[in-house]
Amino acid sequence: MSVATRVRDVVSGDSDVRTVTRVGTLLALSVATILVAIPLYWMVATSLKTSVQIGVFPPYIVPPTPTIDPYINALQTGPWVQWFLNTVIISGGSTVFVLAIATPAAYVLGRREFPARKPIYVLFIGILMIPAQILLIPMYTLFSRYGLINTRLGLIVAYSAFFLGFVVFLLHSFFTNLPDNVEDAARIGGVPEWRTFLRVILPMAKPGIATAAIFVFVFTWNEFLFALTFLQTEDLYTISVGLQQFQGLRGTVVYNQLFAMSTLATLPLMIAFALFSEQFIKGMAGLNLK
Amino acid sequence: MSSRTTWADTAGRYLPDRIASSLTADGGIDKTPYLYLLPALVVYAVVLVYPFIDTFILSFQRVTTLGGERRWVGLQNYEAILTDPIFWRASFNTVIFSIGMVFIPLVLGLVLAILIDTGVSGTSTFRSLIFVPVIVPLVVAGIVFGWILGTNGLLNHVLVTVGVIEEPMRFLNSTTWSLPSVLLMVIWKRTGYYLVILLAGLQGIPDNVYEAAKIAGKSRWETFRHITLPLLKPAILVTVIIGIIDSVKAFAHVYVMTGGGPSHSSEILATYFYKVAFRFFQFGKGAAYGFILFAIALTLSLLVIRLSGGSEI
Repeated sequence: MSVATRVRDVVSGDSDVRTVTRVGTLLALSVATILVAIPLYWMVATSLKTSVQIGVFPPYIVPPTPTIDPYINALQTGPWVQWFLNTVIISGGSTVFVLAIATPAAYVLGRREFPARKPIYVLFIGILMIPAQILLIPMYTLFSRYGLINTRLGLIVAYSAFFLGFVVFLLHSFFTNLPDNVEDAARIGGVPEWRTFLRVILPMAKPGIATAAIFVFVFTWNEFLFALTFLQTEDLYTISVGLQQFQGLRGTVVYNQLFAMSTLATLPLMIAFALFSEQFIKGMAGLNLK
Repeated sequence: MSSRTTWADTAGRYLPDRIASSLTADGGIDKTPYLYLLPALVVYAVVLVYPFIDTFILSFQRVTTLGGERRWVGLQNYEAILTDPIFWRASFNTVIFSIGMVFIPLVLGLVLAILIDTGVSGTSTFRSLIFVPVIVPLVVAGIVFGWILGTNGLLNHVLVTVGVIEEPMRFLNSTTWSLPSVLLMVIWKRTGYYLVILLAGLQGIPDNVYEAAKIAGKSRWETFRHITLPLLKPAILVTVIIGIIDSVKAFAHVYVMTGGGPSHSSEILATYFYKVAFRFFQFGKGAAYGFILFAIALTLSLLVIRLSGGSEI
C-alpha cells in the first residue's frame, strides 16, 4: 500500500470500509486463482490415475490410488526422452544463436550513431508485425533446398530469425539505458572497442540478456506450427509435436500417460518461472509499452 | 596506475556526446557498427526477407510440387481464396475468435489488475499465480481443455451435478460449442498476460492524480471513468493490438482441440491456411492466403491505432 493511501485512510477515517473492501478483494482474487489452477490441477491429477480410473464418469476429483506408473510406462514405451532432448537442443540452440547475433546488433543500434541506424532498427521491429506462418511455404522450399528440412538445425535457424526482432527490441532499450560514457572512457584508455563490448558492456547488460534468454527459451519450447511442419520423422519431434501426435494416434486409454508427459513438458517452464518470475512479468509488461 | 585514473575523468570533458565516438581520428565514418550488425542482417535477409519476397511472387504463381516448375497465373490465387466459402467461414470465425481473445481477457484482466493494484497484502503472489497459464505450452493447454470438455470430463460432471444439463455434452463435436470451447482455453491462457500489461499501466499512474480527484470530490466511478481509463489507454491499446495480431496468427489453439471441425465450425484463418498449403498442397494459393493474412493483421492494427487516436506505439 502506498503512503498516500495510508494517509488518506487516516485522514478520512474510513478504515472499516477498507477492511470490507480488503476481504472482498482477497476473496475475488482467490476465486480467480482457483479457477486458473483447476486445469493444471486436473492435468496432474489425471497423470496420477490408472487407465481404468480415468475412464470413469463421474471422474475422481482426487486420484483414489495415486501412482506414478503412467510416467514410467510412457517413458519406457514411447520416444519421450528423445523428444524432450530434441526440445532442449532446439530451444537451447535457438536461444544461444539468436542472442549471439542480436546482442551486437542491439548494442550498436542502441549506443552508436551511424547513418541508417533508425531505418535498420525499424526493419528489425517490423518482424514483430509479420504473422510468421506467411513465411512457412517459401521457408520450407528454401530450407529443403539446403537439406535443412527435417533437421533440428533448420528449426534453430528459423526460430532465431523469428525472435531476432524481439530480442533486438528488448536489448535495444536495455543498452540505451546504460550510462552514457562507458565506451568513451574505455577508448581514451586505449582499450579496443570489441574488448570494451565484451568485457564492459556485456557484463553490464547481463540482466537484459538473461530476460531475453528466458523469453526465447520459453517461446521456442512452446512453438508448434513450424515444428509440426519442419520435423517429419518421429525421432526428431519436439515435445509439443510429440504430445499432439500421441494424442491423435492412441486412444483415450493412455490419456494418463499423455497427461504425465504434459506435466513433464510444463515442469521446466514452471521451474524457470518460479526462479525468474519478476524478470518474466516485468519483461512481458514493459516490453509492450515502449 | 595514474593514467588509469585520469582517462575516466578526462573522457567526459573531451567528448561532448556519443556522436563523436562514431567518427574515426581523421574524421571519416567508422564502419565498425556495420560489422556488429552483419550477422543479424545476414540472417534477416536470407531467412526472412528472401522468403517474404518469394511468398509474394509465389502468390501470383501456380506450383504443384515444392521447388518444382512455377507458372504465372496472375490474380487467380487471390480470386480462388476470396471466392472460397470456407475462407469466409474461417474469417467470420476469426472475428468471433478475435473478440473472445481480445475483449474477454481484457475485461477480466482489467478487473483483476484493479483488484491487485489496491495493494492488499499478498496481491503480487496472485499476479504471479494468475500469470502461470501464459507459459503453459499451447499444446498442453489444448490437450487438457479437450479432456476437461470431453464427455467423461470435469466440466460435464460439474454441469450435470449442478443440474444445468441432464446428460454429458460433446462440446468439441458440436458445431455450436466447438469454437466457444477453444475460446475458453484461450481466455484461460491470456487473462494473465493482459493482467500484467494493464497492472504495469495502472502502477505507472502517480498517486497524486487520485488524490486530486478525491479532493475535487469525484466518486470512485468518475475517477475510474475519467482518470484511470484515459491514463490506461496506451496499455489497453497494446493489449488490443497484440490480441488482434495473435488472433490472426492463432493456430495451435484450434488445431489441437478441434482441428477446425466439426464441418469447419471452429475453422479459423490460420488453420484453414495450413490445410490449403500443407494438406491440399496448393502452395501458390497458400502464399496468396498468407498475404491476405498479413494484410488483415496490418490493416486491423493500424485501424486500432488510428481509431484510438494514439501514436504511442
